[in-house]
Amino acid sequence: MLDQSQNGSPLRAPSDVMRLSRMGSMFPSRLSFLRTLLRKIISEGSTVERRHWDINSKGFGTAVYTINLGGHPYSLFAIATPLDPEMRTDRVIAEAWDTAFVLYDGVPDELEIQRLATNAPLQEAGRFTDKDLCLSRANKSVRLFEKIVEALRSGTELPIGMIHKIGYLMRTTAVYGNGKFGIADRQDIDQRSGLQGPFMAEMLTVWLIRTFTHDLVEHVGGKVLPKDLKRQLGVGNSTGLGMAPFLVSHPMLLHSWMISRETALARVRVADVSEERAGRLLDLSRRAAQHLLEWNIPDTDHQARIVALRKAWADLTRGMTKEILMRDGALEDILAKSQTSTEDLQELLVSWMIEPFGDLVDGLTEFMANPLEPKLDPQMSCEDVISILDDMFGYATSINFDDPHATDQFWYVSEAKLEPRLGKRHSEEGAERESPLDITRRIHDLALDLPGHTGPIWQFLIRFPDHRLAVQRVQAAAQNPYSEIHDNLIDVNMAPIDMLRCKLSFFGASKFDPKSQLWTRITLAQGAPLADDLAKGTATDDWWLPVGAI
Amino acid sequence: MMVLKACRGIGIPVAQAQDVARAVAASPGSLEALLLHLAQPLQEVYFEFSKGLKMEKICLLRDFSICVDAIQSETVPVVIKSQLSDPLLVAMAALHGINVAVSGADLVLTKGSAKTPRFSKRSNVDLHDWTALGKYAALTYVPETEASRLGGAGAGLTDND
Repeated sequence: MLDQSQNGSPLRAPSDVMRLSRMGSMFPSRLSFLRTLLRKIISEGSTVERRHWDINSKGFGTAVYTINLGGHPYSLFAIATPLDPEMRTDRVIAEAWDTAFVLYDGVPDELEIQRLATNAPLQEAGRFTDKDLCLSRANKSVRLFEKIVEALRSGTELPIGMIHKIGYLMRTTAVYGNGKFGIADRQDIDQRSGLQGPFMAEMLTVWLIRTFTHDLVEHVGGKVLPKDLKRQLGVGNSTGLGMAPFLVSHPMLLHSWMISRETALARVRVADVSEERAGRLLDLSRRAAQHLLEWNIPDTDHQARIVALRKAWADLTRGMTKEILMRDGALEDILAKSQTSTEDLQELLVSWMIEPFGDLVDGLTEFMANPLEPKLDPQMSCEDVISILDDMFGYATSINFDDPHATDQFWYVSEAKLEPRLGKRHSEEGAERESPLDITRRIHDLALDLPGHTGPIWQFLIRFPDHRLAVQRVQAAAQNPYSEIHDNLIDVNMAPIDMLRCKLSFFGASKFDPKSQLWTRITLAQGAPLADDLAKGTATDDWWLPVGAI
Repeated sequence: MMVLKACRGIGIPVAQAQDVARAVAASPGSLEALLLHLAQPLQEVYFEFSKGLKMEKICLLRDFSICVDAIQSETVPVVIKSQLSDPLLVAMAALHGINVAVSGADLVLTKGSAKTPRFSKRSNVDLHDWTALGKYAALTYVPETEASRLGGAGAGLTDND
């Protein structure tokens, strides 16, 4: 567990941190999972070997890449096939894609390559084994892919503007792990060095997919891309509602992620800032400003937030010098100054501030996996549960759920597509089959029924079995204060995009490009080291907030 | 996940459904017994606190958690009146380190040695059982409407940029 005494400074309160608006303002940081994975890969001196390449001149065929991590070989199997443009969709429910991928445990032989070539393109409908660790698919960013191929073939200027604007050659629409559709369970691999952290196999899949996309465009174009330019090509991703319930159904894991980040901030805000680190902070502040300038999206509301953040960042960092940053309490002062500004600015500051302090914070990533689930303490008294409710759940108990706005939305699983969706309770059918993501309402209802009861809580639950989940969550929160989102997830104003951004920032996503309140496009691994960098020993862990570095 | 949904589908509270799902994951052979329990109507359980806990007309899926709570709270023995043992009950007891003994027509539950359950990696599930389970799980799904198709899911329909 995290040692509170090493924090250096009090943690920010869950009542502040766990609000949707703040979670929806988060940025990737050096604690993000892709960063953790790449640090591990770099530290081990791992390299990528392209063991199989059977791709034709049009870019269709199969490939296999192998990397050793923690003493185990892992291989990405990739297959690219022709796709009717009408079939190309961001939706997770699509049935065909430009490319399909499997992260394979070991090195596939010819028979296994044939099996994967048959099944990977089928995705959910395929048959998989416990040798298959992750399953994914991606569609081309058609315009950019074709423009680059055209430029490479003709020897004309590469579409640098488009590369910076789009940032990836392909966009994944799902990266499945942990037993989905017959692939290996996480428990099969979660003790292996390099894969203990959250979503490490998925992150490895994404990073290797990026390598494949680079090789594919160079193969079809007939020439290689400049390394600096290639490094700017990450992997896109479209993420919808399906990702949001995860944060609600894994409260202990959410706590571990959030407390690690908050502990990092608490350690750094009171740390001594050496001249070297002050210089690094200045460099990073300029990089952040450039990143914000290069981050432009169609959604007017979110673009307005980016524009406001550019100004706020400029105002905050204007006149900043090494000498100022090296003064006692300088970082605390900057944080204090930001309190009158937006949560966007405050969360960017958190990521910026911890970036140069790897020695203080990187070890926290070892605490970000958490297999535990809330468990009832049956002997806790009703009075003690009431006390926790009073101390920690005012945000839930103060909501008037008789107000139709407070129950306007409901989460459900679609019968036709078996995917999570949001409905309007007062105008659409199906609320009686609501998914149990209404945790705040459940805690509110527990608080209504509990007063007047005494004795151990398990005897209360004999009469009120429906409250068991709420009691478990309340008890868990007492020990894991960042486990619950302090908002009403069925309120009329609840926007799932906030949950998506929180989770995706932990993955290491940048360039959030919301297409509605329900789904977003992002970029992963932009600016990350290339396989070539690993081979040459030149890979570095310096790609926070990527910018067009040409 | 399918077991969890199936339990929720017949009205078992979420936390209890999660517990059943964990038990079946640890003991996949209990799936057939689970289907029998899923087919039973939910009825009111009878409790009596004297010399431990006596329960009658138990709905295993909903009420076994109370047995676990009682035993963890040293309210022993727990007696389930007029109850036959079956693989699901055994699986749920094993999950929580509870011993089950037959006493006439009743079952007597006492604290056993707690051990971490080993979840089964893979198992062959009978297609008939899986289909039956899916029908209960489907009770948690909401049929599609035009509004839900267009508004409830998010992403656009084509992606050719």
